[in-house]
Amino acid sequence: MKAKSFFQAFLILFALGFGGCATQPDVGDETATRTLSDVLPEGDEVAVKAFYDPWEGYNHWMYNFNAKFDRYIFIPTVNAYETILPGFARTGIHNFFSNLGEFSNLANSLLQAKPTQFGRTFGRLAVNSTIGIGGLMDPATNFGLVYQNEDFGQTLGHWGMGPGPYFVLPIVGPSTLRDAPSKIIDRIFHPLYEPEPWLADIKSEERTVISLVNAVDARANIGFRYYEMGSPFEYYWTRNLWLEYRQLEISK
Amino acid sequence: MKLSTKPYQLTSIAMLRSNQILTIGLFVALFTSATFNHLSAADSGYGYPIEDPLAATVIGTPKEYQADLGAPKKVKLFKLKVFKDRVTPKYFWYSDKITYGLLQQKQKAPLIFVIAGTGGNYTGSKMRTLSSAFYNAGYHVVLLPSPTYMSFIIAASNTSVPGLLDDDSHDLYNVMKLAWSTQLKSRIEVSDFYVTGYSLGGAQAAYLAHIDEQQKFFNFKKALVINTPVSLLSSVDILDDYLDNNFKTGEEFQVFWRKLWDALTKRFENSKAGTLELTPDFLFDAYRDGSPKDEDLEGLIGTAFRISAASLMVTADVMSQSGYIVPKGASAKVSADVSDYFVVAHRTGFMEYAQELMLPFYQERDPAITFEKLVQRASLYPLEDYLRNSKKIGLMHNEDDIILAAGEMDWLKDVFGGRSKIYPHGGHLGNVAYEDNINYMIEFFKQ
Repeated sequence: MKAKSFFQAFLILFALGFGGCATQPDVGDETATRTLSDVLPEGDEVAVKAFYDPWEGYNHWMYNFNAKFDRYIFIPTVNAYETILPGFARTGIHNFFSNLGEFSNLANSLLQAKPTQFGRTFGRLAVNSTIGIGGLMDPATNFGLVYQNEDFGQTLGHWGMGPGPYFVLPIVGPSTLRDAPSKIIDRIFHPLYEPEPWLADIKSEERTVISLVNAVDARANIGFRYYEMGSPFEYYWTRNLWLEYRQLEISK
Repeated sequence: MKLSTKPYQLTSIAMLRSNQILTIGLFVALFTSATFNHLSAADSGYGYPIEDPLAATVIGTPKEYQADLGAPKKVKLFKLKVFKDRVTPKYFWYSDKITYGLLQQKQKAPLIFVIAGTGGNYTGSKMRTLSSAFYNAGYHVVLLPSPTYMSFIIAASNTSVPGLLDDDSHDLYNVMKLAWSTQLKSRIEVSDFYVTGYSLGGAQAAYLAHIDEQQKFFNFKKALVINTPVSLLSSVDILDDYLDNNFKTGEEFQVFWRKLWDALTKRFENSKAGTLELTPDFLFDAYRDGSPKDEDLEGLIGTAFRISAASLMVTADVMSQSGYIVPKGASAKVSADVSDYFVVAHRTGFMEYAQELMLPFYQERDPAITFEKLVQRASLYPLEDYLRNSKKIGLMHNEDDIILAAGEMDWLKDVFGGRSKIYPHGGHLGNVAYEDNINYMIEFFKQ
């Protein structure tokens, strides 16, 4: 896992070095019939450029890479997973990982000084780990204890830190300079990962398998498919909506 | 040939966790979150609850009024390469084939093709509703993208400049024949063929029925046209105005965008839910609590349409090398900053696209074409005789549909006569998931 954290840190540095320069399209000598000056009154604002994305060149490239990874590796794996395992088994696995993730929700509720949220998450963890047979089922939701994600990126946001530049992570997708390193902190709260598994005695190769299943389960539960919006500008839409949505998540 | 399957599920924001990927499906729904209007009591005997056509269009059907369609169905996806020799520009690598969906019965059954509305594919909520309803009623359902959907323009359109209904429908018919012969025939047993579509897809369903009379490939037994425009360009004129009249500058739009997110954030903060789910119920509640503002609703609808239109025109522009927004011969790396094109495209109305890209494009092929002829070919008028006389075609529509210009509803009633079912309210497709409407559609094809 140390190697993995190092890898993540490297990617951030890589992006910093890479950043800045999104290339312009190569247009030659031709000009289009309709250009910016036809549609943009002087001094007017443009919403799409209001989002802070200094590393667009890298981000856009990585977005496209993720789309390819998704199409040729991730989604076929998810399809195989869904063919092999029956629905109830997949639901069980999903609940199980979701339950383990509650430790991070719990820690971050505490760090954000949200007692109600802390209590609710604690209740979920207690109910689902016991009546829910070690987290395989989710009876807590039926008791009105609804799931709410809290992560370290939100904690930083809660205490006033801005998101910084938009930053597309490999495979994982949209993130920001604030949120991406925060994922490393969140793993400390995870029972199966850093620095040593504290919930169970797990060998490193077992951890690898668990991580893979976790990733496939996570992907299987997101309906998003790349390049399905039907827009040549999908990159901009996902970016803008993602940044807005994070802000909304932090507010709660 | 079959490449992938996926669960047929709403790309719900509930699935969105901090370290995960954003769902685009959120978008249109998001816009609807700032809808504030008052609710008037239904008094027409028709129980769909939203009488304001703008609000109905935005919200759709709240759950308690929806037909019970059971659990979401798992749609099988197929990818189809339509033109063997067509070279896909590198920037559009992901659109080298079109994708369509299938809901398959276990036994021999009738098959219905469902055509999506403007800019739509198999993922939209209306597609989900219609396909589930027909599947439950015993049909194999084939979910087809609109000829205005990006990958259709790139991979399946003859001209790559969509908008003319007869041409676009021929492209669709082509796709249907190819899909049937190469991918579906060997897999499913079919008794009879049917076709339907909503919005622009409704107009195409009418044209498909007409084309099928000549080609007799499927011999459609019946066709249902749902909330169709009469003239595409008179409808887009209305939708263009919704945007242009409410936002004069980008600054005004930004104020609107901020207001929308603030309203959404506030509602989310005050809700019990831990995750945000933009269901019709969430929107309906917001609507009932809020204060009325037509311009916000118009702004939302206009924006949603503009996004489809911008995608369409840039795709058509690049594919036809018209040099309208993207210069001729331009090439861009996938990482290139194309935000200038984004801005220009989103500030260009569909009407301007029709006059400045479509018209010269078609005039180059046939100098006799005028704008009036183009408008005509983007309408149902050339099909009038057929629609009047063909017993197999029916119409389902709403009296207050916002996409119809003055006189167009009367024309539809006159042409379809006894084969039309017009609901008193529901706006544009707002009531399509309502129980009565679902029952009507099923009954129509049974008779």
